[in-house]
Amino acid sequence: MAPGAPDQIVLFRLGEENFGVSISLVREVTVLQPITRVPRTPDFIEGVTNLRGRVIPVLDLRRRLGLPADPPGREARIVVVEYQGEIIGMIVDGVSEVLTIDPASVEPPSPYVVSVDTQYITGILKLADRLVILLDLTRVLSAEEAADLGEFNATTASQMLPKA
Amino acid sequence: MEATYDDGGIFADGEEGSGLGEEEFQLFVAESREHLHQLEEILLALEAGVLDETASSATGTDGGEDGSKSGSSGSGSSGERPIDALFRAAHTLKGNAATAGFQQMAALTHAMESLFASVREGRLLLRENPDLINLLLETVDLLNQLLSAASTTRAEKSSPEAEALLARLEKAGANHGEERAPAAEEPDAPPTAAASGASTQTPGGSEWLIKVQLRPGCLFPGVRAYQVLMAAGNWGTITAADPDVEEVRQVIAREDNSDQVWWNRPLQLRLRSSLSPTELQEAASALPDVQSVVVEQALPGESPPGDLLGGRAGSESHDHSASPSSRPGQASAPAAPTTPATAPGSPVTTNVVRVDVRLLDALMDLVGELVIDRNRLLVLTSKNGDGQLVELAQLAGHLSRLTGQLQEAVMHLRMVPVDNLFRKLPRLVRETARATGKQVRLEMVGGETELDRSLIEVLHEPMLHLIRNAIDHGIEPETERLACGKPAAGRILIRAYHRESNFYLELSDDGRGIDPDRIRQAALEKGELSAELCARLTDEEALQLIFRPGFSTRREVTEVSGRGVGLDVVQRTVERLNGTVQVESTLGQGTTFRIRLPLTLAIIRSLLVEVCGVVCAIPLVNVVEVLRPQTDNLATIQGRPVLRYRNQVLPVIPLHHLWGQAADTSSTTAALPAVIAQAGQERVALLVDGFEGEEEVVIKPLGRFLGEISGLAGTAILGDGRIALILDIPGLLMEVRRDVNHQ
Repeated sequence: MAPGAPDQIVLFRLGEENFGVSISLVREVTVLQPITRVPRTPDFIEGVTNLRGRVIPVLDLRRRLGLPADPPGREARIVVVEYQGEIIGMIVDGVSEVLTIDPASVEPPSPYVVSVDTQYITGILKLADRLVILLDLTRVLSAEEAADLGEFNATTASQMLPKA
Repeated sequence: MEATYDDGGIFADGEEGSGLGEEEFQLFVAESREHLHQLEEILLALEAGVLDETASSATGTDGGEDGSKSGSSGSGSSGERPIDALFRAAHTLKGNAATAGFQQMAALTHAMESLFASVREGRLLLRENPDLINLLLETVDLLNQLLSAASTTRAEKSSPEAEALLARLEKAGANHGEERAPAAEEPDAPPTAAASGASTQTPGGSEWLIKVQLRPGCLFPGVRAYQVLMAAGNWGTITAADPDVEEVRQVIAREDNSDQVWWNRPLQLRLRSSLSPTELQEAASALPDVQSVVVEQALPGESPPGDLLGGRAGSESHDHSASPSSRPGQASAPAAPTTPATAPGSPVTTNVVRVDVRLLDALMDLVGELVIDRNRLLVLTSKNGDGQLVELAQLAGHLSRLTGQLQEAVMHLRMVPVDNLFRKLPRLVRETARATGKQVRLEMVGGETELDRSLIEVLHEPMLHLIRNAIDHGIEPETERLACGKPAAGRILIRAYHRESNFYLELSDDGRGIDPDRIRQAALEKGELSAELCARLTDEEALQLIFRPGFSTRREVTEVSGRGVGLDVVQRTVERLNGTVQVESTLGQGTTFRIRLPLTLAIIRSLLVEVCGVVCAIPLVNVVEVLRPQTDNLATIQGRPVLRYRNQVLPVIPLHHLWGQAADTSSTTAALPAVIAQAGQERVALLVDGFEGEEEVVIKPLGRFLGEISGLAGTAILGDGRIALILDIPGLLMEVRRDVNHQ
């Protein structure tokens, strides 16, 4: 794919599929820790967590990408990314490795190969034994999504109060 | 935070006078505001007859009972006449505006200064001339507007209003035979420049050729040249200049300091001025980065810049004959930057440092972190009674005290005197009184009382409402007042004070007061309350109805009860800040509104409750009581759960609803504990799963990614590391209201 392809990626797993994000966006990977559910947020928002004295939002990447929900297992981790100055956590099923990739081996996203909506994908990386879906974090955490969030808040607020 | 000012203005001295740097610009804005305020204050005092413009003692110039004025308000030198203070303020404003490159502001202040000069010379009287005072106040307003515009855009936008006003000011000046440019009377040189005697010069003066050489390699040659041109404009009339203002502007716009070659050539200008050559020489030499100055008598008939240069260039270095003192600037200029010129009688220096608000915010955040850690430590040590930990517990105790002190100190850094708000009020009172044709005397007490700066800004709007209300509806027309044996002029008292860790702001009027019966009646007519309920309301409770949204805006209520527009807005604003508003009124004697605010917003005492496994923090200011409701006190009205609480019927919100969990139906609901929460006059019963005690929590915003979430004010990290969601009680109550209205 295009020149902007990452040369080092953090590889993680959601269900049976492998995903990667550029290492430049990842601040750290932590084990799953207590998450406080925040009301009136879209369902892919898992809540907020205390990351060493800092309150950060955590989203469930499976739900964000429209993959079938599954309770996080033992290997589940929080990938902490920094996006536009905001620190955000993403729950994944497992983190395997950091990989140096050859941009030449990245192919454009194709809807026939993967189950994830191609709008969230920058490309597909073909390794000898598997495919890695390179995520476009800008889309996953984009401003439009934030706007959707805002709208969501506005509409749900009025529906929240006790109806008999 | 106040700064000290000296009469020379910020740009007339020192090396910082680039007029373009961020800090200088902020200083320019701050100082200009200060001078504008001073102008307004004195003009209002003159109008009210509190001051006599030419009386020689300025004691009481500041007209404030608050006594918090620093030297900045201009009565620095004792015995100064108000008119001198006016003149000086206008003069400094003019100089600064010109230096900062705001031509219209400079022109307006120049026109004002001219008028003040006429007053000073006894050709004009301000106090017998309300129209003139109005005109001057209008000018102050416009200048404030221009300043606001300038501080956002950094560039002057030509304003047609300014042109119109300028014409009127000039006309007002001309009416009094004011021909001479009064600026000549006090040149824009540092006060050391001996201007005495300048006023005896003939109008217009003679024409001079001035050559200014800037120090080679100085940092901002363009800006310096500009400053010279601007300053020269104050000494007289520039008839020609090379380079001219336009050219200099272009150089500045290029922001290109490499253009040194260009500046090797001296700045030359022809100036018609009534100043003596020595005065011009001294004034120019004192400007920053000026290396040398030559002043020569210009030959008559010699004009445009081209000729000026062509004819003069060759003789320049030799022709000293007409120059009274050829190059004293060489000695004085490098000396200038070391100490800013201080005018005689300039205000005392105070121990004040200007600090960027963002730094304070950062400091506050850090203290917040520290408070969280302290809480954690306290939790840890309280869990373990074991001997080894006794020392740790003592340490924690000490840390806790230190943290508390640090927290308080940092909090105080953010505090500014409420005088910053007070100073805007006399004008407002005057305008409203005029509009309603009433006489009003304003008294303000406690201007030195301090409050977090962000809170002061937010208070402006509510005070506006309350003052308008008091004058419009509270204070009776003169005839009515006289008939009840009250003085003709109504009185408004504004008082600020601290009590415990709260800030109070009171506004009292001596008007007709609010009649609770009429409010009951209005509530009844509006269908707001049932007849039975109305009858049961105490007078005090009835009075609180004026804060209901929509209640007060109704015409008949406004007329009847005397309290009008937007009291609900006042209440909402104050409550968003975790404060409260109260009203007290005695029929026929007046009304008092009392606003209470916490001293700081960042840290709040909260009741911690548990709901659906999540800890929620309810600010203690909103908590009335916690209780376990009796089943017979719970009922359903129109499909909504309610709780009978004392004499009231309160809506019930199981907080579980926030998480979309169905309220445990009636049987189990009854067993749930409840928090009676209040915001304004409204209460609600919040059902929770359990209580976790009280804690002082530090508010952390939800962040941009989650955005604003209705019903939540933020998050907090608890001592044990868990996160609590801070509930927004006024917000929740607003939802209840909206919800009921939708039905």
